[in-house]
Amino acid sequence: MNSFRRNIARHSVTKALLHPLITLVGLLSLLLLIFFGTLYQADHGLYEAQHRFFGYGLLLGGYFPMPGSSTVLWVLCIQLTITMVFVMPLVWKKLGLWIVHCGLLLLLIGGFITQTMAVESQLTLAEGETGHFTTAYSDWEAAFWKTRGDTNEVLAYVDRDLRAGKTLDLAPYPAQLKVERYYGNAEAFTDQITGGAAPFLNASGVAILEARKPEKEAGANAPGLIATLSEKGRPDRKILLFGLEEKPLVLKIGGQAVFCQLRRKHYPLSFAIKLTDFIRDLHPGTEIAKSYESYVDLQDGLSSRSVRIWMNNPLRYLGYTFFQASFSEDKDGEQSTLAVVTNPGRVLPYVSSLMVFGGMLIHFVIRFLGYVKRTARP
Amino acid sequence: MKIRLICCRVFFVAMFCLGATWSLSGAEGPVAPTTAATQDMDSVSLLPRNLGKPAVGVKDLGAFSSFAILHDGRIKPLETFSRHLLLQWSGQRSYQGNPALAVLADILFAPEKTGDYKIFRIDNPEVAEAMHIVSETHRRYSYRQLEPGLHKLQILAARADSIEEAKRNLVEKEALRTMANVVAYLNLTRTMQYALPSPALAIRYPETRAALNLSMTGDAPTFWELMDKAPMLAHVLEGLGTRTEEQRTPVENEVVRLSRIMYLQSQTGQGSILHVLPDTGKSTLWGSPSEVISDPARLQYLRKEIAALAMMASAYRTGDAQEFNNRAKAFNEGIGQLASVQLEKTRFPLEVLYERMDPLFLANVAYWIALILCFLYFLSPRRWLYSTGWIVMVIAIAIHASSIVCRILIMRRPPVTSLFETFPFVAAVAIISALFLERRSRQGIALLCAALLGVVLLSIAGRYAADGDTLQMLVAVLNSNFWLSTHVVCVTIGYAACILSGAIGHMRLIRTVFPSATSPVKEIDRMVYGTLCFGLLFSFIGTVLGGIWADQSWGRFWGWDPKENGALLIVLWCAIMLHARQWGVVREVGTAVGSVIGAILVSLAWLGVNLLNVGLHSYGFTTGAAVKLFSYVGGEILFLILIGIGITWRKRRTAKA
Repeated sequence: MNSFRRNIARHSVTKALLHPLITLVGLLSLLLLIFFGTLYQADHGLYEAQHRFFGYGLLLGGYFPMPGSSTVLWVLCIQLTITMVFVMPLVWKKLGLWIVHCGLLLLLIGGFITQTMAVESQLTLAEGETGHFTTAYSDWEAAFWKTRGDTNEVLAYVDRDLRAGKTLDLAPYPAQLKVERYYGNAEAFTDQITGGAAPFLNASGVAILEARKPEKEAGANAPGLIATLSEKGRPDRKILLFGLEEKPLVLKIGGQAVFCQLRRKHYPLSFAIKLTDFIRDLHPGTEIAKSYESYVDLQDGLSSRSVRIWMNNPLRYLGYTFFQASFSEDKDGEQSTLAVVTNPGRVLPYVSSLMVFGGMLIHFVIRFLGYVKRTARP
Repeated sequence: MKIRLICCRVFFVAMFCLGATWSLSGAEGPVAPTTAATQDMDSVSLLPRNLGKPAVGVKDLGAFSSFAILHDGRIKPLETFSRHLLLQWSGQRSYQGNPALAVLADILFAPEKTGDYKIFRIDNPEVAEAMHIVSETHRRYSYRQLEPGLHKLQILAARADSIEEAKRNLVEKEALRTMANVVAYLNLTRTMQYALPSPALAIRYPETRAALNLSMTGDAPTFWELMDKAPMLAHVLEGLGTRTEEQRTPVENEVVRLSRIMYLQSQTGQGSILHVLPDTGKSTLWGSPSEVISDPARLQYLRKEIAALAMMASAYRTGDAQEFNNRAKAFNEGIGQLASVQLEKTRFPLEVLYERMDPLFLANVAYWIALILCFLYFLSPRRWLYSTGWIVMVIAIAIHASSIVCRILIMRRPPVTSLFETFPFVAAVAIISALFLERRSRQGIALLCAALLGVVLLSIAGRYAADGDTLQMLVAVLNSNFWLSTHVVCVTIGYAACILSGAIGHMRLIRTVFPSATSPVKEIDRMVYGTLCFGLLFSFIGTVLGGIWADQSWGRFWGWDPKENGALLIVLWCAIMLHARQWGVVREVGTAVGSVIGAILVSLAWLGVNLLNVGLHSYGFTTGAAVKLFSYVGGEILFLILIGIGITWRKRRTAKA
């Protein structure tokens, strides 16, 4: 086993793959990407910065090609794996380094899981209101349902599917929807000139959509959709949906009324959350917040319990975590916004960072003891 | 007693009605209370020039310093309040050798004296120019100097106020700041108006004195003295009926005049920030004496304290120190019983001591002395210079550390909670580590670095301290002692280690160009490496703990927030340097250069991130700091270039030799 490891470690391909310069250049480019990504974020918002700098490749300054963070991380990940499997000597002196690098690998895996599988959404409730679903920050969906408020029979297409030219089957409704145009961020206008004889079916009188640049905050975008609804035996109907509309559009399909709306993506919960009270405490005589607290009833089936959610103290239930995120106040009273997260890789950063920390500590202690021993010699 | 209180109420209602009627008729009475204040105090000035007998004043303010005051969300001793108020106004903690508290006492009890105190600092000459003020060398002006330009200032400030905060320029910011300071000052001068002699309340007819049961001789009565006569005043007012001014007797007319002025005086000074009186019931809001005077319900509850303050005022004016202190003690005792929140008085003496000693300033002075001694030692290496430097450093760090401990004890929270607090803390950690290194190496280099870091970091801290009370309350998310004491402390220890590494790295690079025969560089290399490792360890833990805190409070471990990224940059840079050194890509000099770059990265992560104005961590940044930060980064780059040139020059010389 050891000789096999040694052979592989000494192989020229391994040596080339593990060349220190690759690692150092990789780490350095990661550093630069983060540095410029942070500067970019100030002007263009986090969403844009993440897309630009944390993908697989980018053109720095528009001309200079550079690997994106994901590429760099993959390269470093592969190097790390090869080093650990074949190269790093199995000696006690290196115990700390072993633990550190195992931890790092786990951290990267955790990051990958979070990036691909974690779902972040929010739940805004007024006092006394009960929530059965959470809504996405920046993902949208075109939803179709039969009876108002019936969340069980919803047909929804997420914004990824809403590309121009794509035809969506609206089964169980006997119709199809062909996407004519989809705007990631748009401004809506009513048609003043034609005096209301709008070319599209729309619930709020919107006749014109105009594309706009994406907002700094991805959550502030208001998308728009123009599509053709075709139903056998009926002439095609053009519909227009806009993200900020409050009322859904009512369509007659197959002789029944179907509601449709472009809305922030909904994530149904298998339980319900009722906000009983929201308390905002200020430091006396100032506008500095001392604490925000939401008192909620968690209703699952027949059981119900009261929970207090406040800053740094979230509610965890069935893989969901509810955090006190923000609040708003209007004429109807106070509303509390809870951030809702499901992340199967949640524990990994904890484990991995503990490993890295422990490993570093062990390594530095071993080194320090060696140093003391060396300097103590006459 | 009860009857008297009811009379008081009747009197106030009557006053209010009268005041309101006059306001409506407009012929005799003033239009608004603000302009009213000018009329009853002085015909042109918002500040009276004399209030009868000149005030003597009291030197020993004793119990007055530990008055509890609610300011910026915190109940603090008046000593702290007065110092930060004066610091904010004038950039100094004292005025002409008088402590801030004495200045505040003058403003409250002898306001007529303070008109010529040059306590308003206007940093921006354009503001002074716009106000048509003759500019002063120290840029400090008195109220009387500012008064003719107040109208101009008001226009400037109103314009600045209509602009979004982030878009205001320096002139607009300064105009707003000056305006706020002057308004705060004027309101403070009127806080105790009820207890000060008022020429406007002078009584012309002996019959009026008799009717009000006042002594026949003596000066004009104060508002508070007349308040005692409220039942009699009310009696006269009730008897007026519908008679016009011409039909009333002179005495009746005088009583009407007195009541009118009393009403107006009760309405002034409402905006005073001297919130020393707890509110009734469970409310956590406190009020100023002028607010309480105008609210009969609160006055009833706080009558004893208002009276104690009034007696303090008259004792202050006559120069009776003993009476002043006795009344102040009585006031403190009364408040201690009334306050609905428990006054943790035990910390007040410590805070007063902390404010009076100003330990960070003392430590800074000691660091300066140590720095000079270290420089002298490097110029001519004498043993006594070295040992004296050591002793001064130990004294300095002892004072410095005790100031941090004091703050922890006063606020009962971890040492680092604001940008200001990071400076003393980082400095303390770096200096203590440097002293440990010095004990091993004994070359004076770590000692020099320690003194240098002390001077630089505490001077920056001093700049931030000028913004106001540095013992601030925390926003909701920071209200967690556990995370503040782990994440923040670890990150700042990481900063300290990297900065120390950078400082020693500078010495190493200078030594490369100018080698010394007596002290080998090997020990310095070890120190650079060791501190870098230390920096990596703590930056990493700090960053990870931050991630865990973020996961606990916002639901994500990492959010690419600029401050998080900054911390990650430091971790990555330390990791790069340690790997590069391990693999032989860089040697000793390279590591030293790396440590200097590390220090630059720390400065960017520490302060530069706040420049971006995005994310959850952008707090406490001032415009001037940006220029200084960029000059620091530029200076470091220049230093590295010069070192590069120096090393090439040195190599050529040795090659020639």
